[in-house]
Amino acid sequence: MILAAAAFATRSRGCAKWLLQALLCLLLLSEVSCQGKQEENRQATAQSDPAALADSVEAAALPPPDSDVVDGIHVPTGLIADEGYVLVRNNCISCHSLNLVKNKRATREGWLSTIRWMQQTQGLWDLGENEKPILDYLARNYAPDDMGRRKQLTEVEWYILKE
Amino acid sequence: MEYRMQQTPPNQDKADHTPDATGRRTFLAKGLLGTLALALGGSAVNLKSLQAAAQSGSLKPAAFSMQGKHPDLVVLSDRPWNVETPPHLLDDRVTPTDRVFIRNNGLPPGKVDAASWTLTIEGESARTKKVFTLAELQSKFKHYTYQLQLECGGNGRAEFSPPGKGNQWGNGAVYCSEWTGVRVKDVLEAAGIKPDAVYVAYYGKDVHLSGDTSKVPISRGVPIKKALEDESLIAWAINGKAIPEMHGYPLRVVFGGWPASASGKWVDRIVVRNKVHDGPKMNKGSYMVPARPIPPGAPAPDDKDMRIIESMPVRSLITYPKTGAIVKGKKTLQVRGHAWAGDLEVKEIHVSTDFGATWQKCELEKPVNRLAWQHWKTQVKFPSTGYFEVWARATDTAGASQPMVVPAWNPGGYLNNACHRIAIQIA
Repeated sequence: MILAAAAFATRSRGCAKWLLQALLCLLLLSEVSCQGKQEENRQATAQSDPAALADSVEAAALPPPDSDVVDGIHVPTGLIADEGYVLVRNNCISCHSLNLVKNKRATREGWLSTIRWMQQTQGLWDLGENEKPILDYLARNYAPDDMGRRKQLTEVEWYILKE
Repeated sequence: MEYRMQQTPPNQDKADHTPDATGRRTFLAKGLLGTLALALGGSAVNLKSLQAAAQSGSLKPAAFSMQGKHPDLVVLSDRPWNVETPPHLLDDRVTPTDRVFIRNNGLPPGKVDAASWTLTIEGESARTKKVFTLAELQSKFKHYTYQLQLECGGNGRAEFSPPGKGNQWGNGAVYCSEWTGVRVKDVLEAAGIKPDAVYVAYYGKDVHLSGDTSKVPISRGVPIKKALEDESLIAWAINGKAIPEMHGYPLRVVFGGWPASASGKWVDRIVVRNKVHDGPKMNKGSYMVPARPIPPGAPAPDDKDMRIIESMPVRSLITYPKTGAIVKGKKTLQVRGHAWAGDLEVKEIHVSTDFGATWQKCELEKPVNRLAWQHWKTQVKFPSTGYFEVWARATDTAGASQPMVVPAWNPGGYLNNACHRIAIQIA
């Protein structure tokens, strides 16, 4: 997948984006050269590797062809590749990281109030006819989970304590 | 979980890998972890985990490794930079600079010439306008060094349900480093403070996210009383060295024990106001909680029914061991960490291994100076093998303790000081 993403970057950005290519090559090299011990683990998670590219503003600004969607995730942006994600990318990335979208959970009303807040205080433009599909997308894909008063400890990375 | 552990951060030089990280990978490679994770309900790699990885913000963007930060810090956002420190990396008594969390509202000012940097003191309640170069500040006023705890007002926000607005911080948006500078009060007194002074606020040279140079990303402050405390600093050094770019080079203010947003970065102007400061992020619910509690998920009240967060509430962290420890061949464990209480001190701290049924008092040190965090430690005994959690609960000098559940819901998701806990297996 990294190769695919690198090839894609080469095609779409040409020489002007040689820096990005260099970055991708470095990434590729570091992946190839890492310890053999990790090989089986990495293969097990091969499908998640491309997401390693997802979190820089530069990578997220690439165009979004369907070939970059893996298991429902648009790899360069990390956004859930549901209807409307291109609008979200195009309107949000101008000012801030898409992590601020992906890490947030809100109801439709909550997302709308955030959009209004950005329009009142942060210079966000009128979204016009795009507002509805953007809100639909956000409310559908980034809705809150009810965690109650205290969530269980999950995602614990177990290790043997040596003292 | 599996994603983060098995990923090789893409832009990270191998030389940066700590022994801890290498050991973790070796352990992973033996496949023990997968077995354990499954036994404990962890899921195999699937769409969900890919989504979680993509959404977790744990991936390192290209520029991040250039900032000299510890490679295991967690990036919540790269525009603006918001980067969190996992609790086990805060084990040092004085937080090393590479482990200090980052919370920026705008973009750092870029190339800065410290030699030509000036600080202007003005405002309705300043008797005169004064301009100091950095060198003048350093030569005209006495220097002070304090260890000061700084915590994001939204530290712990990720636990609020429904979610609070803003960066979804875990527990690591806090630190206590050593700051060197001059006292705010000495500098303000050089300009003269009128008796009607109410608030002291900063302006910095950071750039609004939109790139609009007419917009100020953030300008906050503190009431005059807090500003005139001995420990309130205009600082140029952290841990004995120049402040890194991300933390406000070359000059910032530091108000320990208050939401860290009051401690402005890249500061070139301090205003003495005759009213509560009204800069950006002093309004529209920013760093405010409802003056009277509201039900979870209720609409945010107007600012007139909110109160500005001042001193942060009592809180503690378990910094050793790292959560997820499998203890072999014994049923005892040393645990330690830090505790702090805003403007107050921590009076005592307890830990529980049975979800609060019983509590055990820990050894607690006095702060090295006012507004420094305090170190605690104890040894816990477990009654059997199996899965346990260690919970830590600090109590401040006013008698307030940390709640075990997430406290009063508020629209901004501020002030979650619920007990920190770690997962342990006695094998």
